[in-house]
Amino acid sequence: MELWVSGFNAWGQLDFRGESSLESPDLRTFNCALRDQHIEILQATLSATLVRTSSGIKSAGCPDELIQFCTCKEEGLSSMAIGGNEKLAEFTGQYIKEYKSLKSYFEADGRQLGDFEQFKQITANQTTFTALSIKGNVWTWGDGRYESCLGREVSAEYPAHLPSIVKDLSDLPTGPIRKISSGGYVTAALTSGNDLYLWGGRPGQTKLLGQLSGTPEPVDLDGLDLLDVAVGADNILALTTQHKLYVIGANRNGQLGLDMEDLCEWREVPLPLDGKRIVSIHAGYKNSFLLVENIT
Amino acid sequence: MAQPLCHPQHTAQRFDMEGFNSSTPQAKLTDTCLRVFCDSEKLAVLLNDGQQSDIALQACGTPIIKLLLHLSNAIKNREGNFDLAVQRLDDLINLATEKFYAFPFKDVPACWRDLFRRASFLKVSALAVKQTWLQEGGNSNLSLKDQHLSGQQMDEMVRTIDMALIMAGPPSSSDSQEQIKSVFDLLQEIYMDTIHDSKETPPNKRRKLDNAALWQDRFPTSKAFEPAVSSPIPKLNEPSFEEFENYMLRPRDDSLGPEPTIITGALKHWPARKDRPWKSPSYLLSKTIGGRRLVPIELGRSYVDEGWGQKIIAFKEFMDHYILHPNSSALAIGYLAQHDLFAQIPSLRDDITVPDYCYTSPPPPHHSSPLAEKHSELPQLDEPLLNAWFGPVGTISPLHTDPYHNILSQVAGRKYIRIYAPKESEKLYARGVEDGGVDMGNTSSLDIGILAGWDGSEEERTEARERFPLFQEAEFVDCILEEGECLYIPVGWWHYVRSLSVSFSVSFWFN
Repeated sequence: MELWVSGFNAWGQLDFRGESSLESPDLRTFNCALRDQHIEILQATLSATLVRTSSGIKSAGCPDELIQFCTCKEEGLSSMAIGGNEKLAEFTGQYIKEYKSLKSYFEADGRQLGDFEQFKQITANQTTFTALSIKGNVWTWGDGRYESCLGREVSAEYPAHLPSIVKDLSDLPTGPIRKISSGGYVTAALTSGNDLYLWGGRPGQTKLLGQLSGTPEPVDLDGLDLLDVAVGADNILALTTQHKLYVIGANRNGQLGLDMEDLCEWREVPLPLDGKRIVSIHAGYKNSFLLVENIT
Repeated sequence: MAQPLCHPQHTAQRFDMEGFNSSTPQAKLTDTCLRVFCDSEKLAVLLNDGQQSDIALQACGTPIIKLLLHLSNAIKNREGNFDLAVQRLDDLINLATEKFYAFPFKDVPACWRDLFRRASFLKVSALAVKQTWLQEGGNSNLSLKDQHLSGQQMDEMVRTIDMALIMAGPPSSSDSQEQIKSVFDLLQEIYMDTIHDSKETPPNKRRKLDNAALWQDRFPTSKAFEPAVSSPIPKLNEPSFEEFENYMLRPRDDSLGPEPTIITGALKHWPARKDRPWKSPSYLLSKTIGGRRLVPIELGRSYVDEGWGQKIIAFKEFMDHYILHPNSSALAIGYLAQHDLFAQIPSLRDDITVPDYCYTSPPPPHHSSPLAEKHSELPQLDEPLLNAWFGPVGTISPLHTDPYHNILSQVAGRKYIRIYAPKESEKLYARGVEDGGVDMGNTSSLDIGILAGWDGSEEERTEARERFPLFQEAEFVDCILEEGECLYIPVGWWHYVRSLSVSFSVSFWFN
């Protein structure tokens, strides 16, 4: 397996070769950063990246508190997510608990939001949490100032700060949602039939995507089926079932892996992957990660 | 038997040269930046384990402090890649900006404001030593003290500091505030030197400047619609402190309280009206580091209009596009309104004096005002609050009340002002708490321009009169406030203000 990386690298978080450097330039194109029999991305924060390999846990960059905690626990803590507003939410079975910050999480000073349904995934962007249930329901909650990010109606009955189901993502033509991803002011959801839905946006923000709104809308990428999606701070990556990578959004730090300006239309990233293919994608803070495998 | 090293004259010369060089504003600027903004020792302390400090930045976490420390050292020693260092500082400024949006305004953790400021001041420092940094890479003998800032560098430096002050707010310590002021003063000095130097340019370049000098150094005149004054506000010529205080404390009509009055003659000693003329565009540009200082402006006719907005632009751009050539494009009206310009540019503060009248003891808000109780709750001001109001012809402040007594001083240009007593309030249709929770209770729903028949179509006027029937019965006084005059507006009185030319006013709020 290989880990390919591109983008923001201020703390050397894309370099697994050794000592972290504060003189590292950003990577403008995807490069192979790590080779191992098994690679799993556990966490990618502002300043560091944590992966699990067949020979144990490896980190790059300058570890912050979260990365240190994950390193101790030897896991990615995938049942929790931290927003840009520093809030943290964690699910346990069908319960969701919210904390003001990682610090209050360490102090076990949280607030039970309630009893919903069995969850399998949770994500956060700057101000919104999104959780996916085993049945495929998408629940959102967060800062009511950015209502579009909730993708649902906000009312006295369904207030912004408590989890509520995004009704527009129920009963979709290509089946229930199987994966969610969130970053910046955008959230993405993939159906079991490989369709991509996007919603969000912040008033006054340069438009990443023209059609982005408070209602989840399907995204047509030349009619292609999508295997994976990753939403970054200000960009989006999508992987087709043919293992082709498409990107859109800001590219100031090279997060698109294409040596060009920001993109407001989807574009394929050509990669020299002889006999290999991308199997999953991941977005960090203004950087992007691809897991690549030999075609067998 | 010459012993050059001990030769007294030699030593003296070297000393003189150093003394001369370090006294240039450029050298002082570099010195301040490297000494104050690149204080690596203080940053390093934050990395000590277990040490709790009261420096807000600490909450940004170790990685950010490490990066800042690295950049601070890089700038100090001019090591590594200049462009990368500036990019990283921009990355940190962007990160802090993202946090400003992620949190509700009042909840933004202090550390992100601190980071915004520190990264900005490091960027200014990097720009200050840019030439030597780039030259040293190429092994040159250019010393720190010889470099000259380019116009572009100055643009970027001034923009960076002003953005930090506007976005993150000024630092809390008065030392830091003084240091920032001294950096602006040095930049201003460097700018004034460049103007001075350009006057000694060779003749072939001279011609261009002479042409520029032909350009008339005044605001454009325009034929604006001028409302007729129907109930003129009485005038007092330079009343004494006691006379004015008595005027307020012993009102003509107890059911009204003190009434508005025009005060003439009070501004005649202001430098802003004489040898430091605010009606001279070039003077105002020179005081703003060649128009580089950033100012917040309001866009649109009036703050209650649809499509009204605010933006931050360089003073020069505001002057060029919105004051000198307002008709050259389809731009909206731009108004530098209610801005504490004098805190931002203290040297302009020296061009005016606070009228003595602001130090009188005015009566409390009059009982006839529905907002009297609210206004009474405001704490006593130690000093009057100053605001600048600078805009082209046609700016409108919709009918509203302020929570303080006001001496509105007209430095340049003219304004039509209409004033309603607090007892007329129920005929003036005050707005309430609006969508988004903003309390607009001090602003009337009335568009005086339409109701008085100066603006809008006949249809709009009829509709407005039908919608606000009591308006016709409301009594008012009005005036055209001329250059050099002051208008006393008592607390709680409703006022509508409309500029009839390019206009520069200063309001002094007191209680």
